[in-house]
Amino acid sequence: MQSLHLQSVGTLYADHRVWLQTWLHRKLGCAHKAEDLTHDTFVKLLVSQASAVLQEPRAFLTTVAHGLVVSHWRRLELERAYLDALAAHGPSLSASPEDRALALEALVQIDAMLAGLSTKARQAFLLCRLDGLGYGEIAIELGVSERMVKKYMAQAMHQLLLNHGG
Amino acid sequence: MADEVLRQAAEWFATLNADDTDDTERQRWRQWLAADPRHAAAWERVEAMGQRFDRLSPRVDQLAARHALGQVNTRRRSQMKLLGIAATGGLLGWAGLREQGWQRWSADYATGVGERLQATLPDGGSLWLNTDSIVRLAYDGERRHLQLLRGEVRIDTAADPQQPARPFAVELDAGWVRPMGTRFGIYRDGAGAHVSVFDGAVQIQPRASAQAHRLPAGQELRFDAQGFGVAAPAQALRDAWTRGMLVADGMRLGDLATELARHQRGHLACAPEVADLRLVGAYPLDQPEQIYQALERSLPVRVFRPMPWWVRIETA
Repeated sequence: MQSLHLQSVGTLYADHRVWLQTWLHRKLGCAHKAEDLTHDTFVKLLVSQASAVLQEPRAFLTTVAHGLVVSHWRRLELERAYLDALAAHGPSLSASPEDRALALEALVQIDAMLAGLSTKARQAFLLCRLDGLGYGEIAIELGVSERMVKKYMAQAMHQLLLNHGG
Repeated sequence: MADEVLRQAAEWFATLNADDTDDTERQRWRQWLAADPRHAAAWERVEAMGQRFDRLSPRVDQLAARHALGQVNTRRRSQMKLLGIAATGGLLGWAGLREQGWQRWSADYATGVGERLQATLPDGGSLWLNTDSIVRLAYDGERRHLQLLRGEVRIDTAADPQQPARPFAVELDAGWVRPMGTRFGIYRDGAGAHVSVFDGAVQIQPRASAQAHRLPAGQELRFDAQGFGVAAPAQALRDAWTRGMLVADGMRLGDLATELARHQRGHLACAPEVADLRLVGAYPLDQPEQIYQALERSLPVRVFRPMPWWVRIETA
């Protein structure tokens, strides 16, 4: 079963890798990144349990690859915003490249957890769980009532649970 | 799980997180929890989510993270450049060396996955970088300083042409390694590092410990910021990579796969059933196909390759 799946992904790979890499190269403007994301696309197929015989393999591949391109850009944006903010509030003490890579990885994960939240609910949740502020302080920060903060917190947790259904 | 139950669990999360939760409220929460097994299950997920978040949050700078997470949603940049360290694989201007001794200069060496590099240090010593490694040099009038940011190096020190001789040190997250006329290797491993001494001796100073340790030739040792592991005989051929070889002398197949994987892009895995097989041999790092063939010939394994970059060593 497993090797059947590997084989069908293998066929897809043999038939469409070059085409997909070209497609990604056009989208990203970078040959290296295109190669990486081509690789990631096939890894994603491998780890997914999708075993359907594909009618439109290229449409399917570009759908998967497009998702990766979007998260790639988002990741870069997050990274840029994070580093900008770090630079703006003074140099951090001893951020080695590894620490920084860990921090960015954590940031991307947090971002994925918070996907789909309204801006206010997102801010309220982060102020509470990241900065450890109480509802009263968050209310002042956001210019809303404490009652509203509680509502944002409930919305945020509900969305987090929905994002990671199980 | 029913959305309504999740919603209730989220409401309770918000209630219990408030500054002014009282006992009456907590009592009501306990009743809700006990009322239905689905409530308890939903609450477990709330707690798991909270823990997951709390594990991630200490890794980021709070202020910067909140800023980034808050604004990226609404902002779109037209053109982004990849940040990060480019693998330059080269050597940047040594011209400053003969200038005044006080002139500070620095350079970075880096190798990508599968690359290796040899360079001559400004004092005449030799430096080798193994696959996927980054080194920063800072030599100035008072010191010879080398930072290993990632990966593995082998260093043959040379007597400082400048008098009085400047101290030589390799800095790591875990601490400092100070060679005393020597040939040695350092391999970063998580927060710690393995040091092997082939000639002479080195002094190892963990960052958070007052104690230093002198490691003589023929020994190796892992250390981290807090302290030392146990010294063991150095594998004489640990640095065979400087000659492009991987030498296994009774090495576990699993360890060989881990080692090979460092030199290759893509994915290389070894099935647990065969990981404990031992092997002896010298393998050229640049020719993985040759290595796989040799493995298939000498061990009861087969090398399964669903794709060029996906290799799995498993029972034949």
